[in-house]
Amino acid sequence: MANGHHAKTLPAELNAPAFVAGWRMKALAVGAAFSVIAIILGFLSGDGWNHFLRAWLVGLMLCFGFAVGGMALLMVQYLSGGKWGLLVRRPLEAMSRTLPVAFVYFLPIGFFMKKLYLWAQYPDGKAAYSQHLINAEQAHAIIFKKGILNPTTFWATSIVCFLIWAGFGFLLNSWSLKRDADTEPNVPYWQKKFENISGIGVVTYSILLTACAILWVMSLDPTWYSTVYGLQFLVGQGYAVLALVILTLIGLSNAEPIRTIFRVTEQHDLGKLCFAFTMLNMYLAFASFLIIWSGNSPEEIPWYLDRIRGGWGVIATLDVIFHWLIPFSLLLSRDLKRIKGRLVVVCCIMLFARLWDTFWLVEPNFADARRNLHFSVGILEYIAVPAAMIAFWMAYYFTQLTTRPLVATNDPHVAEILEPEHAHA
Amino acid sequence: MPMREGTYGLLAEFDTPSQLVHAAENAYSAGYRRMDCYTPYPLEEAAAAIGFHKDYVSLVCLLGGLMGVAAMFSLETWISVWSYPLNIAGRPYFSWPAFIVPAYEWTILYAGLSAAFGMLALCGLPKVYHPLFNAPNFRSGATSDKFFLCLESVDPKFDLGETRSFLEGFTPASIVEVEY
Amino acid sequence: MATKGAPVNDPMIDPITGEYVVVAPGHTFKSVTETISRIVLTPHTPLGWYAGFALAGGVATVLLVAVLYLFLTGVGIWGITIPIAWGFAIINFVWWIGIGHAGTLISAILLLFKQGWRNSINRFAEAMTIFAVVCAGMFPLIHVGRPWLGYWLFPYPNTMNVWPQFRSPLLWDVFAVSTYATISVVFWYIGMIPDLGTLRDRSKSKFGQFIYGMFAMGWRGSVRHWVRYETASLLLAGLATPLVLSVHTVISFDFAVALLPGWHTTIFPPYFVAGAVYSGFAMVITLAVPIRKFYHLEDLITLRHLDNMAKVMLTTGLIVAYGYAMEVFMAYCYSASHWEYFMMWNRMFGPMGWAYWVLITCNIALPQFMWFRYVRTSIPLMFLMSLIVNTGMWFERFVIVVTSLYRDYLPSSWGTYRATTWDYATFVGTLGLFTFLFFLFVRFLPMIPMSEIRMMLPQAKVQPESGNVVEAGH
Repeated sequence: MANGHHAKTLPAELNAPAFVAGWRMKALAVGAAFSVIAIILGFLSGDGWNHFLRAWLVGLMLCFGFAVGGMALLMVQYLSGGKWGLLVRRPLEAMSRTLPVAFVYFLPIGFFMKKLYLWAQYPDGKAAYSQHLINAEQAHAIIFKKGILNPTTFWATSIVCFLIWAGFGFLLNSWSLKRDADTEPNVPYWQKKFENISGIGVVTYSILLTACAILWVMSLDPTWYSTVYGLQFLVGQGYAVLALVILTLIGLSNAEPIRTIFRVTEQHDLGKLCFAFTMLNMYLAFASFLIIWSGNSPEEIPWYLDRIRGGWGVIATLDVIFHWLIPFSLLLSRDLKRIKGRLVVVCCIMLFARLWDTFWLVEPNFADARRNLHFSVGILEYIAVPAAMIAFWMAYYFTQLTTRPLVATNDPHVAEILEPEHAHA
Repeated sequence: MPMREGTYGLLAEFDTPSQLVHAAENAYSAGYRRMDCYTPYPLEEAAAAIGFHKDYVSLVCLLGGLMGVAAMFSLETWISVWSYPLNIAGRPYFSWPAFIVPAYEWTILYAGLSAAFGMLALCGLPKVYHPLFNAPNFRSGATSDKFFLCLESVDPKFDLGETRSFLEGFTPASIVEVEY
Repeated sequence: MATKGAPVNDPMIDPITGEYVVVAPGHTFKSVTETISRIVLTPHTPLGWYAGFALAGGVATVLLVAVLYLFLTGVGIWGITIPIAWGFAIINFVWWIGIGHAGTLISAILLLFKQGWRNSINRFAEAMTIFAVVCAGMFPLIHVGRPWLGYWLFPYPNTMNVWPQFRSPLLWDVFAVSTYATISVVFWYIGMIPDLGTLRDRSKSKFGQFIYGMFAMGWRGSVRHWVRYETASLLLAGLATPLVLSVHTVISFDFAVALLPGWHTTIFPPYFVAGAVYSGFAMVITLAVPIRKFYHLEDLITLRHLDNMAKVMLTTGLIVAYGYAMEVFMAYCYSASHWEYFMMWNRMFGPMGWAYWVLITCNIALPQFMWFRYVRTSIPLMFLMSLIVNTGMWFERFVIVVTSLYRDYLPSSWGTYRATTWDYATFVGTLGLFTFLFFLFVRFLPMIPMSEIRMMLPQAKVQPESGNVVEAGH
């Protein structure tokens, strides 16, 4: 009993353990294998690489979500404080440094936007309508939204977003090292500095992310709009990033230094945060569904009907089950959040749910798939392409994890996190 | 229940939480089981020291919540589909998306009431008379700034003289014999 | 702005983090108990309390008169017309219930996130919730026209053989608000039981001992009870958090489910919730500043609380701003709908456009000053800010209700809205009722949870070398 009251000491070696290099090799191998499969499927499907590109968009949204969402959560933990923030800081910094990968992933979408976006394919809505290539609603929307939905705005907005994020990522990462090199009495100075940049950063992030979500995904169907769309992506990113950061920490906790500092209390706290995001995500999705379902207006309801009828209802139902029902029911348990092996399972389900959900958002935008879920070789690309993209992204992420110590040391929370825990959290 | 007479237990008073936890740990390892600590704020270490780890409040709350959701959802379904079907803007009789909202509210209502009243019931409250209130130093300190350990006479190991000298070993501020 | 290496001399500032402390140094278990219970148990009620109580009671009488006249005459005494059948009644309802939400959030979310600073303010924030819900709940009830038939809203077997219609958000409201009121009261009461025990044990009067003793239900601080109590508190907090979200979401459904431009939009649920928290925190500051001064609670309600509450307000205010921005962007640039476009134009530049700009000034423009730490830790400025935000949030509901309704699809059905004296009297009266109840609360119940403050003191921790450490301050 009495030995439980003693504080621990921080290990001398704070760098990532050697097995992270092994993770990277595995990620690269998986990435290579799925790349080959994706290319073979691309040739086999015979749809002019259409599904390849759609699946690429899904992969982009996920990896981009990790990079940018990771940075957002990093800023949020500076603002909110809390001991869990210290634990996740370095993994999140590593995620935020993967922004170049996200940018590289974005380029093909920009180059081949004509294959994805109706408004890029038919910039002249009137002419396309008179040739019966698009219907009246689509023509009306394309003409009305010309100022926003055109290649120039698309490129300009995306590049500006990436540049601003790169700026925030650079400052957050370099200051973090400088803070560790500084002395302890200057902690309040650094805390202010990080709070200031994070406050502005989170606001900027929300605006830019909304712009990207609207341009990259919502505009796949130019006729439909929803004011909560950007916020749904924002919460979705938090959901995925939390799951990934928990997986990272649990993986790293097999060795020092994370083994010492990753207490059950903070694991429990992170589990609670996951639970909160599970609820929040479902809340936004259900609320917007209920509003549109109750309204039943011909301008809006087709978007849901496209994603429910013709077999898509199965995908939608499973989306709710993966996204909400399973994680919610499991995370209700206090013990589950405190047992590493079980929490890992929940986090994997959560990440898989993000993939599933993005598929459900993207594929029914296209005429061949809406209200008609059917098997084609091309649809397998939704497994192969995102798998390859995420695997390569992971490899880069693991490399970034090894480039700096896994614990930020110049922080008053370090002492607190080494204290013994309460029995009852 | 007939009036019980005699000694309820020995009540040791401490000034700091650390002393209390120390004494409670030792009493537990010396074999005492029928005992309780009294503190002016939640002290998890003391509960752990006397071997109290698991409470059933969460379970009661979960059962209440499930009851709430089942009750409201079936009520809505029965009313809207069988008892009083109305065509509202062409929506189906079984409008499950709309039914979720009140069902959700009742889940929380039932779960919350179950947690609150379940907690009180498990604690055996309300109980306005308790022998400990007979100890004058308990009344003035237990809910303010003192920490108490009570070894109860129902414990087979309890012996007035021995237990008193056992408690004296922890240098308490006072030891009071509490009557029923 | 941040500076390096400045020496810290202020005892109210933590030297390690540079933040203001949550509890002033030097307090003991006894002094905390004394400071808080003295306010309730003193035989000498301060004269200022009587004065405020009488004033608030006087204003509450206005409500009594207004409601009495309403019952005798009917809702025709208000300015409601067609097309604006929802006038002040719904505006005030939403405004009040929004204010209530901060109380629950302070207790619940901050408890879940282990934010120790909540402990000093959660009790009276919860009280604020309950009184705000009382004021809010009254409005739909007196708006129905025949309030004595209000029980028809509930599903109960009756000889008319009719049942409520569960697809209507107005019925969802009934369940949401009644659940909210119930759970808030229960959460508040359960949280108060240990402190009622303290009052029972410290009260000098026989009557006080009896009353507090009855309500304390025999609480004696057993650690077994504490463990269950803590679990129940966490569970109630865990339930209250989604409840708050759902209550204001359901209120947003009252609008969003209807197919009216300006109402029918999917951002409504989150932005209503954020707006509710925004105005609620403002109200907490409005109340905390005078109470802290009057009862000398500067040690327990510190600048840290003010700073943190200002940050929450800034955050929620920005979410609200995001909501406005999305509405404008979608309506003007992205909806491709002329109705949406006209609604937004009319809201900004129509005959009632001034209300929109009042709202933008109070809710978005002025609160940006809270980015500065100087403003966040200045008591008069934050008090002023809280009044500004509460005004802004009232205008937000005014804009949503009135400017969406008075010019909808069909120009021949356009109208306008002008509130009457009775509208204002009812609103002002609820302000009086709220204050009146609050005065009763601070006089007769512990407004700061003693057990939770004790827990935050440094000597509350169990020391590693058990039993050998003699505590300082005794």
